[in-house]
Amino acid sequence: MLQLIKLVIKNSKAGNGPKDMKERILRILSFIIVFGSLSYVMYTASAIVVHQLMVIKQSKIFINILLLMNYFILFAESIFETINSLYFSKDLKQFLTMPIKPWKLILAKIINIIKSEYMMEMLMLFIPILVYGHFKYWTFYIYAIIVLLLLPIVPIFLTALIVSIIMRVTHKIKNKNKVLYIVAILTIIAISLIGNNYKFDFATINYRVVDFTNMLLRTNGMAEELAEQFVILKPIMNIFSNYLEIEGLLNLLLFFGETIGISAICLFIISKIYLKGAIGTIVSDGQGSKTNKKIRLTLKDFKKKNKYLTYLDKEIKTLIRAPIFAIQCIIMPTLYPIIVYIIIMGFAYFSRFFDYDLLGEINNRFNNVRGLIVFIGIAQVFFMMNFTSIIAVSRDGFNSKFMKFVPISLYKQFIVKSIPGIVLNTIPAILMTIFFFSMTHNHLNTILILIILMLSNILGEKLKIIIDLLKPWMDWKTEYTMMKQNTNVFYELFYTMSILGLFFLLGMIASNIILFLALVISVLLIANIVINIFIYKKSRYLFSKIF
Amino acid sequence: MIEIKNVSESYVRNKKVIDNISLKINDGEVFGFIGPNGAGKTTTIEMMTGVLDIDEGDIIFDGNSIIKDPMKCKKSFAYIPDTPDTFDKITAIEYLNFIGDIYGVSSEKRLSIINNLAEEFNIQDSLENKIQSFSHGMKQKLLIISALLHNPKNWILDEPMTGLDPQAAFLLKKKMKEHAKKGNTVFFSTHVLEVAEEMCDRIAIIDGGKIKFTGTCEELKNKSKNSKSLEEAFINLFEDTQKEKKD
Repeated sequence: MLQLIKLVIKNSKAGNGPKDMKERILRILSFIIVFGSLSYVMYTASAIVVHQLMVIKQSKIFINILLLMNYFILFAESIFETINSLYFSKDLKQFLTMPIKPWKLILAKIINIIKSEYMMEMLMLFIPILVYGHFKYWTFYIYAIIVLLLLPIVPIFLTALIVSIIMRVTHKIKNKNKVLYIVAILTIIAISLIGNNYKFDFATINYRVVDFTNMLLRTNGMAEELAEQFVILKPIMNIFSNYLEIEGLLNLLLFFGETIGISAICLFIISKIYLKGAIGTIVSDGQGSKTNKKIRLTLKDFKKKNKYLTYLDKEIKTLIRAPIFAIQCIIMPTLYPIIVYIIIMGFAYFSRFFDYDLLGEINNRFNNVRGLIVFIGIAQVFFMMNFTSIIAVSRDGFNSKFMKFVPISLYKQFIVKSIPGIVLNTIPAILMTIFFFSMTHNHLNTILILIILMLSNILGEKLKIIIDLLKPWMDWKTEYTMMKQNTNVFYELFYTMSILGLFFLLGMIASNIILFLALVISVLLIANIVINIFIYKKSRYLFSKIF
Repeated sequence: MIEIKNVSESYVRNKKVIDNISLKINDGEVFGFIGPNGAGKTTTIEMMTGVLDIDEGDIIFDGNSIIKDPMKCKKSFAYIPDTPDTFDKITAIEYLNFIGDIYGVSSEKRLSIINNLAEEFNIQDSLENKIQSFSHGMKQKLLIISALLHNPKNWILDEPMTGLDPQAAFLLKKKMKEHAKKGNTVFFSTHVLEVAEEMCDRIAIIDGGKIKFTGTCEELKNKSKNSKSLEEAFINLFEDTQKEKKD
């Protein structure tokens, strides 16, 4: 069993990890910078919220809401992880031919998923719990560590159970992409329904501090209400509320027992239905094959197109037709700015509880350079969340060899590959420009902002493709692993932080808004020209890592 | 005509995987490139097609250098790689249109060539399916059709018979011979000596990155202790090489 777990874990490891010492150090350094910065943000935000809640003696709300949020995130996160690991991993064919009992294979694969979820948990829960525990007795941390270790187990087993049932039912659908889309849509619907059921009624809240407190208490009430329905959540909440008493220990034991019990039941059921679904995906490896019908080809089937347009068309089809690419590269980057806009508007609404005009404050910030730096910085974060260009080469896998032998210059292929990412980033760039104009009503600044966002968008997308060209990952096993474990994302984070640093530096040089914006445009323009010349002159070198 | 001129390649410094090889493939010739696993066949082909950079030497296609004028060269050859990796998310017809657009093939020509070849290779009913649903052999057939679609002067085929059913293999061999007869060049690598003997006007044998023999199959048999078959000649040649290495 141990050997099997080791094998599954090793098999799932990323293929574009660092090979030499210099690269390893660079990667660790960028990881520390990125993880450190995000941890600092989490730390500061947690400290502010916990402090505010302590004032109204409701600090336990923090831990309850945090656990509830994390529980839902874990469910959502593990949907794709379980479906890919249990049903669509390339090692499945080998494992199914071996005399391994299904429950052993499922357990090994689920342990691997749990292992990868701990990383996410580290970021989402570890820092806030560390802050929360600062005001508690030290034994709180012992309880917290045990809870954090056990926490992802049940959501992952439950998700695996749901996925197994869906796969068992849909195993006759000969198109795994359809199944992935179905599961994704069902999950989004399920989460939306739950969210809708527990939504806040903004209209009934008045603009007073007492109402804000009531709102938080209602949120906590929602968490507690959910805990009544989710048998596993209640003991966790009780552990943290009563960690100094025997009740805390009893709840910990109960939580442990529930985790083992639920996992065992799930494992038992999954092992009974797993094989049929898994074999279904292998048998239907002819994903999407239409029934063979006699085809009469006509001239209409062969419309001639410009070769660059046809290349772009191929890139877009590859992105849209792989569900993971479509979700991570198209749907999510489009949704992020809209979600952030809703959150800002929500905050603006709540700010009125405290006689505080958030939108007015934002408007004021846009009248100084620092505010503009933050604004442009937010756009960079949106651009960073678009993974289209960072996998522009890797997503073709071994077939990226094609780029080398077709009669289209490498430079032109580079440009075409950067277009989808640039177009997708144009959506947040335009949304942010509209937001900026609606706040400031300043035509000149708005135009300059749009130019900056577009220039930084184009520069960033080209740099992302360079990163992917220098460290392409071609031997990936599934599209999901390539997206999820692609370590090039660290370099992308590193780039985003560097460009933010550059903006701050320029902000220190120019205190006048117009001068600052002109300076940023000049620097970005020069950077774009330099990068273009570099790509043109060094395209052979850039493409040399592809075979 | 393809000329490989004093070409060398190293993956690691001071360790040549291709060591100063020279070959000339004449117009109207089917040329077989033979060698054991890891001998350097695919590396040579990948240098010829621009997939790998050339450390030393040059490769010339009808007077154009792959280093100095890669676009002209790439337009003048069709390449079928050793593994039929292709864009899985698009349909076969979309792929063929994509290749047609890249090589500037007219709609009318596409219609007639694809109609004929798809029927000959027996994949006409799968053309609207995504390539990810294709078997290894079907992908190989699709790549062959895509290579023949723009029908350039030079064909470079890396283990082209792998995965093909006997009917398709026979058809491909026929096409290769016909193409050479028209005064064009066909260069292909193979492990199967019977195929080489049946198909090739001349062969080259590569081992350890060095060319061990260039000539006709008969010349090889005569050279190698008057062997009766190409297989025997091939084995004898390698035994001699092993002895030379030991000495």
